[in-house]
Amino acid sequence: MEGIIAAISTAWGESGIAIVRLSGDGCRDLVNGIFRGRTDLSSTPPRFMRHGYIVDEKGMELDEVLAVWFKGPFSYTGEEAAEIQCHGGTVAARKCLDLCLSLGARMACPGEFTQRAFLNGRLDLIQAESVLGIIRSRSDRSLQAAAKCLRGSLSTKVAEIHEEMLELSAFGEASLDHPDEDIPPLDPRSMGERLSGISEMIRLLLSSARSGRFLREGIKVALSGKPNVGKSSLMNAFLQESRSIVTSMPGTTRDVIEEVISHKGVPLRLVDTAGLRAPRDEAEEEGVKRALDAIRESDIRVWVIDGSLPLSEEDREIAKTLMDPCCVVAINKSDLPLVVSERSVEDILPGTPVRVISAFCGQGIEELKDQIVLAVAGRTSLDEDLNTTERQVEELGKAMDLTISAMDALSSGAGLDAVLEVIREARECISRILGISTDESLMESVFSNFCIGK
Amino acid sequence: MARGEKGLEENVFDVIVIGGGHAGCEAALASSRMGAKTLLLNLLLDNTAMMPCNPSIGGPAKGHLTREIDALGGEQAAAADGSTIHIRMLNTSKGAAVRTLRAQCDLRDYHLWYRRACDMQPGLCVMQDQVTDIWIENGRVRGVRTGIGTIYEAGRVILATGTFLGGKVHIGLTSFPSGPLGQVPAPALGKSLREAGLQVGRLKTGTTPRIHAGTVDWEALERQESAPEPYCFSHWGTPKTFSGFACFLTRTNNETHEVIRSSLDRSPLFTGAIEGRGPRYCPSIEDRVVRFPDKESHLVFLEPVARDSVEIYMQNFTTSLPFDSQVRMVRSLPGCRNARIMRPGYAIEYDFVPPTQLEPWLEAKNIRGLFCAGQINGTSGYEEAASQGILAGINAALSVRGEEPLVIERSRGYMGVLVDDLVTRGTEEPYRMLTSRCEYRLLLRHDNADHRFSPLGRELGLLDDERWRILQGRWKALEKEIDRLKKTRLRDPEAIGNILSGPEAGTAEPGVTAAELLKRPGVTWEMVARAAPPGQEPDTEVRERAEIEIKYEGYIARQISQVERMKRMEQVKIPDGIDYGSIRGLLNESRQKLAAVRPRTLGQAGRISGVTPADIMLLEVFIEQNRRGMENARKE
Repeated sequence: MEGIIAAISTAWGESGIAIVRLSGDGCRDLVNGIFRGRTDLSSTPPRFMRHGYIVDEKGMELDEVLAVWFKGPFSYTGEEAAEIQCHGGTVAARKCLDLCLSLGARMACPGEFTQRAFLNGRLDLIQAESVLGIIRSRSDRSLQAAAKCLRGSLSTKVAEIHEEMLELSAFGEASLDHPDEDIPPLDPRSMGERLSGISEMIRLLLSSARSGRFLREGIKVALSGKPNVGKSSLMNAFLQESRSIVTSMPGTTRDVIEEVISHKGVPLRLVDTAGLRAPRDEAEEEGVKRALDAIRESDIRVWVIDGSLPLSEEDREIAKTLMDPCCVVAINKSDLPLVVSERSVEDILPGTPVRVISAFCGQGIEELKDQIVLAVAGRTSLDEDLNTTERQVEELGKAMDLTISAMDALSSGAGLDAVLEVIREARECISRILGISTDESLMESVFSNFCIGK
Repeated sequence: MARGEKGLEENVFDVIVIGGGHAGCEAALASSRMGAKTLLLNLLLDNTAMMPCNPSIGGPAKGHLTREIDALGGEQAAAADGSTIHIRMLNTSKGAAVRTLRAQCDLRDYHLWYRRACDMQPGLCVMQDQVTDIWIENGRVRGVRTGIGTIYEAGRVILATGTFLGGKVHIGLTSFPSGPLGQVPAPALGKSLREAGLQVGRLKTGTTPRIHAGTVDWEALERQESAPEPYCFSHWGTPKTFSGFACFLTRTNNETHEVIRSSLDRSPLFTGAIEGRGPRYCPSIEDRVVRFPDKESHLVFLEPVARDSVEIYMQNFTTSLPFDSQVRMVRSLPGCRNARIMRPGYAIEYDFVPPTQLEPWLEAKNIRGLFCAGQINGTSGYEEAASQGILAGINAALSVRGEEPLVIERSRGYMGVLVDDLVTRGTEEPYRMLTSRCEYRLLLRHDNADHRFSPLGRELGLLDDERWRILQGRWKALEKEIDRLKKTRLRDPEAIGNILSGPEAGTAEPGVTAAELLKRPGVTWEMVARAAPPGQEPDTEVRERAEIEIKYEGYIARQISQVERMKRMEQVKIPDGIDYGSIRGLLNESRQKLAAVRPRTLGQAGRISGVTPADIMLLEVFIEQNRRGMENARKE
């Protein structure tokens, strides 16, 4: 197999251990390059765990770790492999992964460890079908995660960068391929300025991505239901402190409120949405629209029902919108006499887990959290979300480096042909984030911007 | 065609080429030079290698192709050199990878060059006849039948029919069946291809009016002279300078655009009379005016077509508007007030065989022994046609010998990119080669075509001892010169200062190598050589290449490593007859596309638009699963 691949192979969690996994010839020495322990990994026999620290290029200790390596073919992938177990959890694991990438490893594609295991003969023919299944489901999960990250401001910014790169390329390529046309000459100074503009755009995006401001991850849980069924109280019960304005007046929560809690090491991003009903005023209309957006973007919906009142037609309507892809039902207000049975809910949403709770007394809350994690984690590979984010950051980082190389090429007097090659590589990184094919978009751009003849 | 019909012994060939244009001639020459007994059938011998559009060879990407054909042992560069009347080096300031020649040729001399080459070629039989049927039995080609009833037998047939298949010319709202420039079309063959199970599509192209040189006011126009430096295309040619056949520049203006706008209701393009799709890169003048309404003027080049001809070609002025509009449009141009049109511009629609039906060696997937080359594959341009011609000729001859087909990698040359694009992605407009289509452009330069293709040409038997000996000498000199520049150290601070006198050249300590200095902006081989002269002055070509290799060293290395990264995928072969329906997890769209294209390698599969990296991973697992399954079955 070609190259060293790396990925985080544990799901989110602020506590506990996060593992960075590597596979490919030379990965032991790569890990050894950032590992400081009493004994070097290169003088450690395979499958012996070593205690030490991961240090960055400046010699700073990032985390206390255990490191181990496996000699091919006696590893999961059937080739040389290594693992770094970070004690600092996900954040430390990401820094550690970044270091590995900067030393020449590349982010593994979804399912690639399993694929290598199969191609290297570590998994037998009977397992081939499940290998195919793993690759498909992990790729799907990664696509979903990427799409989620790409909604909103990130998408706009990445698309802007792409557009700017494309325009610059189209300008240059048009002048190379059509020298006798009326194409205004591309002077190196303005090209340099545009490149530096692009690199600044990427830099800003990268710094906010690294600080996690919008490439946030976690399981997004939308609390939804009719007004006044106790969504905000449930949110508070989850948080064990008062955040949302809780009153008994229907429609009080007009904005979308988001909080992150950790349950058994899995971050849950709780979104308290406005009550779903026909809006009475403009502010409420906006609230309902946001609530619907939040529900659409969520990984799982908690349908909150007031158990003390009979189910209405409105409830049934709401239920339909929540089913796909994944839903958990919370029958609230068990502190009051219940008129809604678990059975009647199961009739509306067959196969959906139902929990009876009281947000007011805090009853059934832990079980509900368990159910949420179980429902999502059972379906998906949670580490894929984390790695998708890492892949996007990796592509942004590469695009940044390449843009700077293009500026260097330009100032060192290299030909436009060479400069444009470097820009093309940078553009491909950005295209991969957006999931678009590069060659056709370039041609389109050339032909729509320039009137080209011969 | 009836079975069992047998031609005469003298009518039995190894390879038959249908069509004597740029693709057909190269195909016939390559195949016969490789020892296959070859028949070239042409509608009209006087049309051999005709240039029905601009009689020019080269330009970005196209010139690269011509150099590659030459390095491989083809004829086009020599034909261009033998007929050049005007030549220029383009993109001189934009970088070595895109620098290329463009020659204006005497179209009669060009035609005669090919005519002679084919007529005199041992092992090649040239005939004038029209093919009406392809003889196919059990999915294999057996031969052809012609309009006068002759049957020629051959196990390999190369279709190089250009725009003649189902040709239909449009001028204004008038249309009629025709080949290019009023030639007779070939209506019957298209039907035979459809019957053979090939899918056939429609494309459109066009050309400009030709005007009489004696009716143009040349004094009023800007001249573009042939380059003062001597140039030639061929690796074995003698560089020359040319004079007496300048090109001239004029421009459209508001009046021209008004005539065009007021004639659109009689345009076959805008009224929907034309169904075939035309190229975006070579739009008609009416297209330009409509699509770019804010552009007040478009450049038009007036170019000679032959030494002894008064006809003038109007580059960038392709049109299919009615003849009366063409006259007014032409006369609105500066210098053309009194110009007289000798041949009208026109649009031509023609049949093509969507090229995803071909293997990467240009053989039809469903009809063994049938090869397609040139415009029939949806391309445009003499250089694109000739490239496919030589490859089809080589592969037909290899197939006769029972040898493995030749597939050119994208990293080896423009030819590889051209064919891979066609067979993998297909095309919806006439495909033109562009440098921006090549991901390894810095490796695929005009100057190093011989390094990339001549070893292949030699191995195939297309390059004789003499030409091979000349290349060997050149390559040795190049290696020596690069080595010398890397080893020579300069110690005199004044000499170093002189070399680094440019504004961005920087400074260097004594002891710096000549190569390091040469890498600096603005420093040329000549500047370095003055301070560190070579023992023996190398040829211009060697000097220029040494400079490029050294200046681009870092970028070249970078692209080589990209090629290496892709190599594994290019080497994983997808077995014949793979059932995409049985691969679990493939997305439906990918499944359909893969099944339609039937790629040969994982690399090729990955270039099909819409096929994702995950699909490729799945495919690789499936291939390995199959391989192990077969291995187990063998053991049992």
